[in-house]
Amino acid sequence: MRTVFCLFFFGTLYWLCVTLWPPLKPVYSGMWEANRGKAQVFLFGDHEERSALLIGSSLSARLPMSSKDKIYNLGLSGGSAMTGLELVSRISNPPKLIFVEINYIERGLDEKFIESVDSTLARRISLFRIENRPLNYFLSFMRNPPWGKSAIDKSDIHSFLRPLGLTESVSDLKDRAVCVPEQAPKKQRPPGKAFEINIKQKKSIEAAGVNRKVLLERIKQLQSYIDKLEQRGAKVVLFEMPVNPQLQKGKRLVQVRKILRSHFPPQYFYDMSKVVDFSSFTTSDGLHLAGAECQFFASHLRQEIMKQIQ
Amino acid sequence: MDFTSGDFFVFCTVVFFLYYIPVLHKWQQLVLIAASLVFYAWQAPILLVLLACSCLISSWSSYGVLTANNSSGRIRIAALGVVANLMVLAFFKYKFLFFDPSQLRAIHAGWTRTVLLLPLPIGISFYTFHGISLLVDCYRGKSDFFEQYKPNFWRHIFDTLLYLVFFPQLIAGPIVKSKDFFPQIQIKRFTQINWDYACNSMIVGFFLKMVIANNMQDQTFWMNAPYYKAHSTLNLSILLIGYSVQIFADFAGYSLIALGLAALFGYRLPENFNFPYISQSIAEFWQRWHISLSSWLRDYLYIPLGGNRKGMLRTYLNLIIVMFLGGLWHGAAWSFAIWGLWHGVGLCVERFFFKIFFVGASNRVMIMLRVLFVFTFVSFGWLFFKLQNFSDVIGYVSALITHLGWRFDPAVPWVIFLLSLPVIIYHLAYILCIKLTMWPRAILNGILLFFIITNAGPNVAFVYFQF
Repeated sequence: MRTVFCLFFFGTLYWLCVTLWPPLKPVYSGMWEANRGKAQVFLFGDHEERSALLIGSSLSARLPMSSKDKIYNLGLSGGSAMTGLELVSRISNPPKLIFVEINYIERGLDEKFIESVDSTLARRISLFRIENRPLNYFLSFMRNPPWGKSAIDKSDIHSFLRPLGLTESVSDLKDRAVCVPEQAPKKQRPPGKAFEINIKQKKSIEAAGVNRKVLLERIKQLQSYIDKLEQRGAKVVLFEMPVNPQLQKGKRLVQVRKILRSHFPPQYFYDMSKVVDFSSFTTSDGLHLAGAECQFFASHLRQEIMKQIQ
Repeated sequence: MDFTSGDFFVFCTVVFFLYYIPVLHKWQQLVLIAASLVFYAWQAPILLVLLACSCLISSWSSYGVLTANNSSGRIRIAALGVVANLMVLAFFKYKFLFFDPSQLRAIHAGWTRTVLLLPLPIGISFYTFHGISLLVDCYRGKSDFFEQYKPNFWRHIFDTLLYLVFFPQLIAGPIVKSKDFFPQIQIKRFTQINWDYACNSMIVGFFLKMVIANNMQDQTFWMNAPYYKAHSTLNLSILLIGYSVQIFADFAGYSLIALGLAALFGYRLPENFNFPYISQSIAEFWQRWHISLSSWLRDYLYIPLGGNRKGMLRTYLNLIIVMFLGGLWHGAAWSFAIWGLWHGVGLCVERFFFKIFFVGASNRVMIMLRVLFVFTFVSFGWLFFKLQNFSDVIGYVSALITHLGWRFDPAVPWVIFLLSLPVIIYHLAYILCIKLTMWPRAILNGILLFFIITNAGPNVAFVYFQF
């Protein structure tokens, strides 16, 4: 009984803290948790505030989108577009425009992930959401003190907290290094032997291609999601993230591109390569765009999204 | 069924009430056996067939040993039973060491292929070891209990069934010796439950598993290939420490939950962990880590092999054999065998340099250095658990040596530190002999429960489930 009393006491105390001083900006303790947090913010947040949505893997998860433009980036690092589409299908009013990254379309729906983010408790009680978990609340509290302006100015907070790893919501080194210009390393290391080995490994994976049966299954699934979203007034656009030119021509990606083009009419695709030359783009590991390119691609995509919304 | 799942909570509650209903008192043992079988069959009912076969082998042969008239008959039946148990284990666990299932799929057809491709039944390593323990204990008859234990056939079958399938320890131990479990089989009363022990064990266990191990999993993900290649020496070292904390929290957490659950049903299982990361030697580590396995290996393998009674060289050989087989027990991969050898060789070297290693035995600095050395040694060993591909282990170690410099990604280490803190405090509290009285214990339990409810990580299977 004493234990139960203590549990209620601490629970109430914590609930009061979270209610009185909610985290100003969610901070997560890792990439996977950031995925879950991002998904919950999308599911339980204000849907009216989003007119466009970006869905995909870590390739698009790194594209900086501003809430000012009402674009929400639901790219899931290590995840798939299918998981993102499943999340969209669970909300009552989906955004008008949904951009779906096709690079890893063969990845299936992660049901465990969906289960972990869309629980009844989290849906009804905000205390049980990822962003309000005590560890994340503590991290967020240290980064953005709830009493507003801190005694230390913003840049000092960053320099003070950087050794503690509290400067960004996504803890992945590459995520922070490549996509946030002010944090990007001043001196980029030139691609060395390790990079070449990395590309070689990825090329062999790409060369193996993808099981056609699996791919067809995914496309069927994608078609069904698109149909449901269109019935609810959303427009779906498929796009491809640029990768290293050697991988761009890999068997797997060519296969994905070809089969998608044969299933969906041209108006479903947005091909930025017609406007921008990607051949000179550099990546951090062959797949993920490097800092400047990431910004560049994101700004072009933002423009296109704004154009299509209007 | 996972201990941390909602299904298990409902299952356990129902079984608990059925178990203690006065009208079912006479059938308590049957209730527990039936519940354990449901628990085991929850995801793959087909596996019950193998479990049933294993139970029959162990119960028939042990009954044969108990009732045989002469010693040669007893030894023959016991040997047959042990060999049969080992064959079941060897076939299901180690067959894939010798052939590639994908090749088999392409070449053969028919029932041989079906049998050869049967998956590894969950918990097989544990229940076959229980079976062997029963046979050996019945044969030796050394304990007071087995000297006087003369049951009828059906009584023995049910006792054996409960011993082998008792659900808190069925999937991942602790490995209970039959001489410790059989005497406990009797009618249990609700009033006899040791609530403090059961609740404390379960709360600490669930905290270690759900809050520490499951959240740590997200951080140590970066140890996997190819991600480790991008990290510096410092980060890789911190990740390795994180994994040591994770594997401890995962397995010790599971064991504590098992102990607490067993206590709810009136059974006392042996402690499986005794603060292993304060060990000052590798030998001491094995007296504190997975105690039930190490004592099983000592009693049923090391001592029968001759232990340390047959000279120095033979002792070293015995240590290496036992640790090698202990490593292989964990899984059908050479990385586990190498992990066993790593510890076996470590034990031999430590034994050889015993006097040098224990210089200044009571000096605090020396004690800390020894603890640090053992922790580092053990942590390197965990690489074989985390990275089951041997080339990745080599890659990780070479990255650890070559990626020098102070390039430091602070995010992961900071979270690893926060998550390791409770485990460090847990060990420190033991060293400082801190005993909590009623209210501080309740406050601590309240805090732990609060974290279990609000800060549990994503559900990840227990590391030892694969064994």
